[in-house]
Amino acid sequence: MNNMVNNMDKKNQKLLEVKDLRVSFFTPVGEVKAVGGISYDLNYGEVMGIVGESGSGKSVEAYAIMGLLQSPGKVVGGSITFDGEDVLAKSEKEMQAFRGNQVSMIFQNPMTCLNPVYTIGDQLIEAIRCHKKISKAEAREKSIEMLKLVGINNPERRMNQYPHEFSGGMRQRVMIAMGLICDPKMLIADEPTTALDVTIQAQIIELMKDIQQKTQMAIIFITHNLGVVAEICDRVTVMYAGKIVEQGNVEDIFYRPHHPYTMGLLRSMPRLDAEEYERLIPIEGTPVDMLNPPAGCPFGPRCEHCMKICLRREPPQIDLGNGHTAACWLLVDEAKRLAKKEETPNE
Amino acid sequence: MNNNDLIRVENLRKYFSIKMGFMKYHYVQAVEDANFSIKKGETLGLVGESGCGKTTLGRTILRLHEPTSGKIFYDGEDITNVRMLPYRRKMQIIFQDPSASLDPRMTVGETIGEAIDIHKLADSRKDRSDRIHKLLTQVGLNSEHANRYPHEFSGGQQQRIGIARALAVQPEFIVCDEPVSALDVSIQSQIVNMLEDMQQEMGLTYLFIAHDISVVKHISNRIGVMYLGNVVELAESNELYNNPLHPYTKTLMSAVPVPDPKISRERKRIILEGDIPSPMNPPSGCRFHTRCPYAISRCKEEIPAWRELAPDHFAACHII
Ligand SMILES: Nc1ncnc2c1ncn2[C@@H]1O[C@H](COP(=O)(O)OP(=O)(O)OP(=O)(O)O)[C@@H](O)[C@H]1O
Ligand SMILES: Nc1ncnc2c1ncn2[C@@H]1O[C@H](COP(=O)(O)OP(=O)(O)OP(=O)(O)O)[C@@H](O)[C@H]1O
Ligand code: SF4
Ligand code: SF4
Ligand SMILES: [Mg+2]
Ligand SMILES: [Mg+2]
Repeated sequence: MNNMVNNMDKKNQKLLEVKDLRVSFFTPVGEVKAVGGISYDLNYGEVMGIVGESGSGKSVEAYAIMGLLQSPGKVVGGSITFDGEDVLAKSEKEMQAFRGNQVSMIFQNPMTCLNPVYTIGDQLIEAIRCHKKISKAEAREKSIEMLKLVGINNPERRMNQYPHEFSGGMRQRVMIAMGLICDPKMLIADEPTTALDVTIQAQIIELMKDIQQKTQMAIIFITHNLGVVAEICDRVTVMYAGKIVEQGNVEDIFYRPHHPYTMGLLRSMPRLDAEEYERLIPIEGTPVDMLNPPAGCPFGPRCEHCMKICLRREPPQIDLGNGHTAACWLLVDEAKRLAKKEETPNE
Repeated sequence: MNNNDLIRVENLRKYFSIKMGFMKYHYVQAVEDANFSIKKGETLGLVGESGCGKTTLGRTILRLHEPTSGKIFYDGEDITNVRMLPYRRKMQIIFQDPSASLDPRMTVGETIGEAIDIHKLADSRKDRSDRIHKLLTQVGLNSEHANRYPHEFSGGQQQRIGIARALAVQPEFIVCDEPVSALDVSIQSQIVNMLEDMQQEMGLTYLFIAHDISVVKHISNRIGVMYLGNVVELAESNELYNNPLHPYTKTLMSAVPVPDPKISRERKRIILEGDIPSPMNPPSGCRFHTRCPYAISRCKEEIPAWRELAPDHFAACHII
């Protein structure tokens, strides 16, 4: 477990740096700017949640990092640096080595990634052997060890079974095992629990927390379930219409949200622990049409605080301190106030 | 039977037969001996894991599936074997997938108009189009939307159209089968609020099915919990959350993620071992015994009785 040792050593050092990343789909009816210039860092061992509206670019952004964008999608600007290396400059062959070895990804629907005609064992062994020069017997041993790690009973017997002989929750565990088998430095999990029932979802969340603690692997956790984010993420990125609208550590986002979309999202959800009935406060309006996005702030047409400037100019990212940023014109004064406060700490 | 009850089911059971080879049949025991009622004007929530029989139960109450045994009462009348046409108008359903439940070749106005025509509710052409426009406004769309096709709308708007269609026939009872599951979080609350408003305005009664327990708790007066075809517990919503009695309900409540970092990290979860057994071959005795952390030897042999353990709080378990 070489990477694992590395992960521990390098805690709090930068692992991934995404800078002004832009991804577009060139469709017959026009360019869809699916990711419209996003920037963020991820440290070794850090767990970051990406939340946001459906179609806001969460998956596309992950595909860009993995080099898995399908035509007509293209990276049209920006950079991705992973562990000091320029990811976008890699050849397809280098990307194949990068995937699995450095970064791996697990998807919402495990059946799309498991081949129905091979046994689970063959697929796990193949996944190791295409990255590491080890014998079949060693690969088999490692596979069994991984299945044990993800909580599959009787792994020796399970190795000889086919994907359809596993339940949904077990397949998702196998996917996680496959994602972890080459000790990647980073795991991207795209809605890994969305298709699962709550009790199975709870099993998978406990499993991911446990593995993260053991391996100190960095994780990007894409989900629309804010409850899951609250539980396992250190930091949160909130996306809307291809932009990052707010970013910060999990407590800042949940207890001190500053962007109207984030606030709206948190406010609109019913809470299981609510004692009394309270009417929900929805975010009004309809999702953005990505073919004809609004000018200025993408959230403008649905924002209760929308001002004239919001419809003309895109708001800047405002630094709220402690790695907390939000892109909203309302915060421009707030930013000035914060800056002033820093000048006179003993006010 | 209480005459405040709009719906009552007694020992309602639905098995599906599946052909397995020549002259060989297997039964999926999708709903097993359900007993409960839904009061006029109330929302009864139904939660439970995928495949536990929620949709089947809802559809069997509407007799979109014929019950295998047991009885269904509507407003005091036994409708288990009657001709359903007179009841069809009063009992409607809203589906999970708004795009699949709308005919792509029909305009929104035609879709709603068709429902009005089937039950001959409009006196004149003008009355018909007035009704359509009023319904569209009620669900937060506008009258010019009547001439558009479903694909021109977002998922949330399509769900509004589905609701307008259900409301067009002035129903009394609506089975809402996962009406918000396919929608974005920010849109879900719009639809939930709208369903609440409609209920207020028209005195509707809902059976609200969803796997998001937070949403169900928010909208429902009472909640029933299903496991593998059985309704295992039923109680008033807050009572069920604060004082769950059945071991499965306890597990389910503890598994729901809470969007609050401090609370969710301190909370203790009950993690269930294993997977849900197949409804084709359900475990003997209490169907939950293969996964229940509290199971005793009796649970394997004897089916626990459905009992009222506190006022209006029902559960089926040997140890409570
Ligand atoms: N093959 C494609 N052709 C054209 N547009 C595409 C294609 N794939 C994605 N897009 C566009 O890119 C945008 C971002 O999509 P993406 O899948 O990243 O959203 P997401 O945030 O992951 O949403 P979800 O929560 O629904 O998974 C969408 O608005 C979509 O319209
Ligand atoms: N028409 C049918 N023929 C045979 N089996 C069926 C049929 N409809 C449902 N079933 C089976 O009955 C059981 C209950 O299914 P049902 O759709 O009612 O579950 P559910 O609780 O609504 O699940 P979900 O949350 O996934 O919608 C399942 O095992 C399902 O496979
Ligand atoms: S910039 Fe303007 S429209 Fe955008 S979120 Fe802030 S206040 Fe609302
Ligand atoms: S009857 Fe037995 S197995 Fe069933 S829930 Fe109660 S304790 Fe558990
Ligand atoms: Mg996605
Ligand atoms: Mg269903």
